[in-house]
Amino acid sequence: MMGITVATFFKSLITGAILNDSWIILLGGVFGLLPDTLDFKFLVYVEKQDVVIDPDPYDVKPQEISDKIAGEISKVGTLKPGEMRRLQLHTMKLGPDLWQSYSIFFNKAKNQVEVKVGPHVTMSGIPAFGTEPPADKAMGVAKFTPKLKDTYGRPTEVKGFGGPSFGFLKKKDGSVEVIFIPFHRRAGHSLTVGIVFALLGYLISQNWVVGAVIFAGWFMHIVLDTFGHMGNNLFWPITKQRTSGLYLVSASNPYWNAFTVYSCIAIVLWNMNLYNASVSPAYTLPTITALGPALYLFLVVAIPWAIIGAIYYWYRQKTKGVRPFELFAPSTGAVGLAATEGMGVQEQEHYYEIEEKPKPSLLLRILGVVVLVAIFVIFFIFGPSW
Amino acid sequence: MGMETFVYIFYGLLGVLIGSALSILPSLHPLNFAGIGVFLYLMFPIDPLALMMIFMGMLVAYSIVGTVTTTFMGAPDDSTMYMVFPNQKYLMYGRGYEASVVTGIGALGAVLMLLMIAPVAGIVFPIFRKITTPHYNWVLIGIVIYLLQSEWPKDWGSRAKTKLGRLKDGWSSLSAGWFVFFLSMMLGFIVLNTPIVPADRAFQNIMPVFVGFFAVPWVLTNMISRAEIPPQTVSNRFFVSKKDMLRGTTAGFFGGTFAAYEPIITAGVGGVLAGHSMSTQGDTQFMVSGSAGRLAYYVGAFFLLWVPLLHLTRGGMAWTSSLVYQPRTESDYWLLVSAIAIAAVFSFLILVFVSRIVAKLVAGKSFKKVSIAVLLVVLTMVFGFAGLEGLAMMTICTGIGLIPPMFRTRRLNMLLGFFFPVFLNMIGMRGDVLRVLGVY
Repeated sequence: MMGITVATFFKSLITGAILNDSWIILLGGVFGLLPDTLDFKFLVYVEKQDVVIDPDPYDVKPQEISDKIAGEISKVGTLKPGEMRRLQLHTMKLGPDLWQSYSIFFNKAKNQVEVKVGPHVTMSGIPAFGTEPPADKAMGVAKFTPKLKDTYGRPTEVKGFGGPSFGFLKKKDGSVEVIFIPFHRRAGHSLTVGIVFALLGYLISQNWVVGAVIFAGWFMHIVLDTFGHMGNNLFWPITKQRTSGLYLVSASNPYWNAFTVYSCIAIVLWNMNLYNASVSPAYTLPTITALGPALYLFLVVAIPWAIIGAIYYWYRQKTKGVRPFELFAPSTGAVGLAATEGMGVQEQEHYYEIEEKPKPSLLLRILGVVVLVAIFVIFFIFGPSW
Repeated sequence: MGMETFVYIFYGLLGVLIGSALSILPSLHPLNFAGIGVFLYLMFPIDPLALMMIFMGMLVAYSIVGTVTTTFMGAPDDSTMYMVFPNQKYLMYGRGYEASVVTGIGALGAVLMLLMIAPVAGIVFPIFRKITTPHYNWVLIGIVIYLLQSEWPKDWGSRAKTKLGRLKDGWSSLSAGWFVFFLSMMLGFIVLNTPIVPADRAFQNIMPVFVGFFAVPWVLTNMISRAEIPPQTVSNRFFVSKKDMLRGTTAGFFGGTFAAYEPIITAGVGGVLAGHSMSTQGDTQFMVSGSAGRLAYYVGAFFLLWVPLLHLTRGGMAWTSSLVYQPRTESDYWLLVSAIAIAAVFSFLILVFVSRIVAKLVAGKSFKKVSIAVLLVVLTMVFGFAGLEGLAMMTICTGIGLIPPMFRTRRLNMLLGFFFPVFLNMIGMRGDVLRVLGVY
């Protein structure tokens, strides 16, 4: 959505689209989605898998899993700095929408890998209570030797769809860093690859606007991703690793998702209204144009979303600590009743201590927002001349 | 409010009763009867506004009571295909009644939102229309590209040993999705250009296609199942959170309204777009957003015809009924809004009543036997409405409709592909493509 939004700032593209002369505008959307397309449709498959863990859902052996992972971490400890080994974990499918869950926790304080087998869950993670294995078969703990660096700091749940992969990277100081899904947000999320695509677009079309819209779509995807927890490897292949995200928003947060989409739609409508005037006055509202972009965005985006945000925040505070109420479809009759009766009071088990995330400095985070605002100011000022 | 208003609302409730009776039968759609309704009106004229109220009642009932076929019989249509999985799962855990009612509450939520926007609809929609009209074409192709590009492989966890093997595994579902899009597009070129059903039933041209795409493949898949439908719990305790209900309803309503407003886009497409925008997740949100989107799409499209100063005709029911009546005054609009609200409550009560009965009827029955009965009803309906040619068309579409469940790809691609020729028509390219295909 952000890719197509920035594409609508280009007056020549939007008027071309209105007149059915050109659909170059759509390149903004295509290249805005391309980073994830590359990662999850190509790079995920060609990632090297040094070790694969594919547990039997009907006979899960958590101790074997933890031994294997801990052994792998210890092995990486003996490698040269900069070398990495990759571990692929598979999910355990029990039915069309039923999975045997398990979690992996890298306990840095105790230098051990802890594997815990959980209940059966649906694809969206709703647990079927009462399906947890007995305590003596639920845990596996194994020690590793090198010092571990794991910025995530809490268990990784392995549930539905495909399982995650981990990279274990030997650092110069002798420690081993845990890298979650190492194929993701690297080459496919770098500015360098974006520039290459933009140059290719320009060379093929001999039109700088084509290159610009390709890069704009790609760039905005990366900027928005940087606002989350997991950063990007901006200058691949010059830089080797991902940077940390700015921790401003979470990708799964419904408020920020809806806000982003709504804001994009508001901006697209502004641009449509503005540029429609050059095609036909019948399709434009001068009253809206007269507001100017700042007042328009204040009235259409800032005010309603401040109100929605306040309600959302109040509701979150009010329901803090309350368990999600959706239940896995339980058995019927007395068993079902007993299972569901207990749900309201059963508390989330806090087995693992969750560490504070390593958030970037406040200055850096503010700078991120300033950069985003500056990008849009540039688009608003110069878009009509492109 | 005069006596006349009550009479019109009574007609709306009559429409609800007719719509409820029809929508419980798998594969039927109010549009199947709208054409007949208009024909009967021309033969035996009644007050045209009363006929419009009947149509409105039928649409509301179809959107709410019609989910019974999805939940208990496993015969979805294009707008319920994303609800059928959680609803049937609930059925197999003895919670079919709960799923049915929760789904109905989602639709009621959408009606509530429709009532909330009703006072400003006459301002907002005309502005929106004025600004977006020249952009329909590129927005539509953008949506098609987005939906094709945003389908992710369903089996990230390929067990193949080589990189090429894993790539092949992952791309099996994606390439099947594109293949389904291509096949449906070819079919769309043929069916939408040269109606295959008999000329006297040409208005039922699309019915066998949709039944073949969505209902029959699901019924056939269910027939393979050897499961028995367990006893169903019928109680007034529903395990849903307000948060899930609100999130699902909001996503469904906006997705459905967008689909109602934008030409060619259907409830399923709108639902996916809204789901992506609001990150809907979990069974409850899927069920609720599905039903809210369905209502916002079908009833919303009809509602747009009545919005003052909008002059917008969207959806089959609005097109058909506009032959008979064009809303003239603001009082017509408010009459419709009130009638929608009352019809929705009435439909919901019927849904609860019917769900209780059907839940008892299907309990303990073999899923295979229920599916065979549903299939027989579907075949009879298609034959009745579209003749042998319609059955042949349905069979071809069933072949295409079986590809998505076999390769775990999106069923939505069938809709996108089938309506793609309409889009090409809008941008003036359909003739060129048809010439290349040799259709004319």
